[in-house]
Amino acid sequence: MADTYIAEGRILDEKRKPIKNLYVEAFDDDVGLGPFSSVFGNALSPNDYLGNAFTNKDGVFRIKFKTASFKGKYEVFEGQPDVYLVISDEYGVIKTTAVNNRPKNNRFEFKVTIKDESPFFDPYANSAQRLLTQFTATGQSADPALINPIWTGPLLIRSITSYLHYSDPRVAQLYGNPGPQVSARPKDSPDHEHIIPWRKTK
Amino acid sequence: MEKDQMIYGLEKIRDRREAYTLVTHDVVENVDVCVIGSGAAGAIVANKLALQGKSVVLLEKGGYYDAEDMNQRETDMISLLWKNAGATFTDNLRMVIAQGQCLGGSTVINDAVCFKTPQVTRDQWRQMGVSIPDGKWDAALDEVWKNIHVSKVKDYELNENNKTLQRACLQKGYLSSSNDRNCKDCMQCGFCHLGCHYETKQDMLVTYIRKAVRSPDSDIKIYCNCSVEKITYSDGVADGVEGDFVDRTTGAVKFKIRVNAKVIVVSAGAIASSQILLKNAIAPDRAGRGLTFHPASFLLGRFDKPVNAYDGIPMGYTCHQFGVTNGVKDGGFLIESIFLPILQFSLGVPSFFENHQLLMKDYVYYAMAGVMVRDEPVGTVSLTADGSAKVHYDPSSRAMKDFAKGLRVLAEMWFDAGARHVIGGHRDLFVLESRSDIDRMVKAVEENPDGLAIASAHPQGGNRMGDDPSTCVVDSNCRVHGFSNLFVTDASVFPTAVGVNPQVTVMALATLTADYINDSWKSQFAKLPLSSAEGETCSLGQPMYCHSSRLETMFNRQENSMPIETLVNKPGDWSFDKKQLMIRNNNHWKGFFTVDQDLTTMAVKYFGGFWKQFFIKDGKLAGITHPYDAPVFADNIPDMTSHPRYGDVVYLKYTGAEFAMFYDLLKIVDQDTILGKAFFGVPPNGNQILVFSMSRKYNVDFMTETDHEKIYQEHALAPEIDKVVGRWTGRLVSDSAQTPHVQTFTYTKDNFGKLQMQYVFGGLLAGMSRVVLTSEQLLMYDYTNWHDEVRMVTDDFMVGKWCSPPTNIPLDFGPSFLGVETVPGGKRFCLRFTLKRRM
Repeated sequence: MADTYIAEGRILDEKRKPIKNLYVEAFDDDVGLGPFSSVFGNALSPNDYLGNAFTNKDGVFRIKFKTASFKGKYEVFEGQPDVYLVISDEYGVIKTTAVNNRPKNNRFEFKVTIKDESPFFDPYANSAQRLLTQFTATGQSADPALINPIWTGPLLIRSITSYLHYSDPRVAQLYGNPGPQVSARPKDSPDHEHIIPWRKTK
Repeated sequence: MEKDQMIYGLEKIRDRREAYTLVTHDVVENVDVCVIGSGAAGAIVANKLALQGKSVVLLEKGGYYDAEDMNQRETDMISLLWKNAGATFTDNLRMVIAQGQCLGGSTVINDAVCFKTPQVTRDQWRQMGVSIPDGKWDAALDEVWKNIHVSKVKDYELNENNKTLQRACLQKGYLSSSNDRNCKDCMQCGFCHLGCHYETKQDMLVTYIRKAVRSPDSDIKIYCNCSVEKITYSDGVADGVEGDFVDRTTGAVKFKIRVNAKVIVVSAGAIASSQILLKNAIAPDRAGRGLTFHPASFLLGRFDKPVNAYDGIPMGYTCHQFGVTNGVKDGGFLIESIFLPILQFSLGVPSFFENHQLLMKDYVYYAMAGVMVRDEPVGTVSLTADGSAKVHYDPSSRAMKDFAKGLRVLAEMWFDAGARHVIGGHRDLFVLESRSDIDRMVKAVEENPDGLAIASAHPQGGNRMGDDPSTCVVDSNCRVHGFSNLFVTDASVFPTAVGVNPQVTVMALATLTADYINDSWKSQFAKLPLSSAEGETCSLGQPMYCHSSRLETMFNRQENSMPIETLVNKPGDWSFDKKQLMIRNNNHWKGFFTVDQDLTTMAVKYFGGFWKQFFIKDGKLAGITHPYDAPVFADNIPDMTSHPRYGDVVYLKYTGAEFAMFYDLLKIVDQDTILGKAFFGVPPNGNQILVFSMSRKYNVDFMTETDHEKIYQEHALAPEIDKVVGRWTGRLVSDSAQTPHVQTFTYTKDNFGKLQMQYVFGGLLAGMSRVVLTSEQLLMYDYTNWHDEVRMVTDDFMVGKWCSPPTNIPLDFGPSFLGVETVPGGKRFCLRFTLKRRM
């Protein structure tokens, strides 16, 4: 059956457990004419749609398609499809695979592992932005009619200069305080010791 | 039912100690109990109910941070762990209020000081209508004491700062003692306010929460980064909680949550619990009143030898002589040792500019203690126009007398202990060079009380506990008066300031509340019906709340499940469900765009709103698409087709030449819901322009101007004066899109019983309106020549319009939301709005 192709495979999570009920769509990766290509119908269109399937309880899917799905009337140079998959759960797309253009007997085999590849949140980044975001609540709840500017004005300036000056732990050392006893990013050195030089024990 | 123990949140931080999952979409939960707040009260309630077999959802506004995330840097940790990044103030910016906002709440950032509820306070509360017998109090206190591993600070753990206070107290013969603290093998690092890196502090995170999420028998889900906005209820029965998952860095709402529960417990802490009640019009005449504090003012003793107060437990010793722990009944004060890391210290030192620098250079030479006064319940929590909490508080005159006395005592103690000079907290006299300056300082406090710098980490009250429903918010079981299943338990229910560091009292009350709910479960709560509401979460039944990514997936995965004839509308088939505030409109299908906040979607949403109508013409199905803001009626022909990608869909072909390059694909997913995509190009390979949904039923937040007029004319009446009193928040009515809350109307009665209204529009424009009640409607007049007309639909919902004077000038111009009406005297513009009592 030279005219029939199959994209198939299995989708697992990070712990190698199969994921069921994922919606898998197969596309042929083509060079098209961008947004104008659709004006010409399916001739010269990019990324031909090949088919879809849901994964079963074993995480297995199978999508059958024919040559006509990816080789249009004018796609004279189209030989075999460059298949890639778009995989989504019920909340949205969770993975787009790399192109597979090496079929065996018209079968495109995919082994997909779904990993959370989003970057880690850095709890220490954007401290200043977090401060500013949350300071808006202060602005919302203050009543200008009740504020004593003679007292509050200098206090505000003092607070800002304090933040600018004393936020750096090295400044604490200038005043005789050894400052923090752990590194700025403790999880970067998981074997760090917990030692406080002035800790008193029996 | 499958049991679950999991912490959820928006922030992906590596190496979590507890099982943790990212929230990536809207959430609907159906559980026995929903607890709001994970601090000293909420964590205990959630733990005790979950371990007793109840399914529990715990909602926490802050994030989840482990000990190893806590890096002892002030700017990093204050912005992560403290409410409003430490910038919570009273409305006059006079007093800073320290509260935690993270999983574990204030217990994560406090100094771990533990006091059992003093007998004096318990007796006073009993006289104020709190009927908790001593036996119950004692048992609850003992249970908490054990679970958070409280122990006395050992003598060798007292650093020089604490010892200086100890020596001064002993020298004077004052009653004093080392503190009890919930800390095991304290490392004495001095960074308690920044979270305990060594996990020796036994806060809620490492005690009650850890036990709940690690027990295989518990059923608990904890959602962090979740700000609670709504408690829904009717007829004294609360049925659910709704909230937003908020990105802490940007303030953007990422996802929504709805929790359907049989019992709801509010434990968001003093201030926030009152705020939640007020936002939802729960006990609106009582909530927020009786707020109080332990305001504190600090004195530094400057000694000749370094005290190095940073090295060790900051709060290890207390002078009880003048406080409730020594039987003082009226007010009184404790003197507690304390010390602060350098940034907080610099913020607290009451001086400016070069004086400040001079004081800071002696950082290691200072001993520090605070006079912590037990004030009266004289403060209030109210709401600002945008629903933020506004705290109004000035210390009572009795508190100022206690300050004057306490600061005198402490200054004398520092001088007795050998201080070279003393740094005070009054702006008229920072430095006390000798004992002779003490009188000057006291005089300054007495004559200019506003000049005394004060701070507090102990907000209490606002939702007073007591058995009198006319003055109290909750009863002695912490149940809200008038409700069968809504509880508030935290420091907000204290009838007065407790007089000591309050965390153990809060925990004991939470223990009693949880025990009551557990003990009464079968008789009172088990049979309560569980609501099936979805709030503002995205689902197939209410796609108007979906983001584009979810709607796209829904369209792709969902099959067209209804015959094409389902499309046909019935003009005139319009109804309004007053109880549910739902509109069923079969005149046409109202279109909805996605809720994404990007510029393109917002522009399309506000200027591209549309409806589609389908009908039978000459025996064939036909349709019209009409954008509200343009005189366009695009004819189309719907037809069922099999699409190579989407399967069976309704293909909507536009027949007019100007729209020939456009087409829509629709999937009819139920009788009243359609998912759709619009394309440009030649089918089936056109370019997708957008994904949308359409519905024949929607709630009043999405009403059109036509809906508004029908409700105004047919379902609304002139309100009764007493029913309109209170705070209402409003949205403008736009055909195209749901608008945000833009106005707040607060109706009050003046001394003569006459109604008046204060308005705030857009958070900027504020003023008073004169109110006239007619048999037809409520009329309101402001300083412009426009006026408001308002009618009441239900006790919690009104509709209104702000209209220009009638004129004979043709008014057929302007945007559609500025509707034109014909009235006696000519035509007029009207800006339509809705008002809800609950935000």
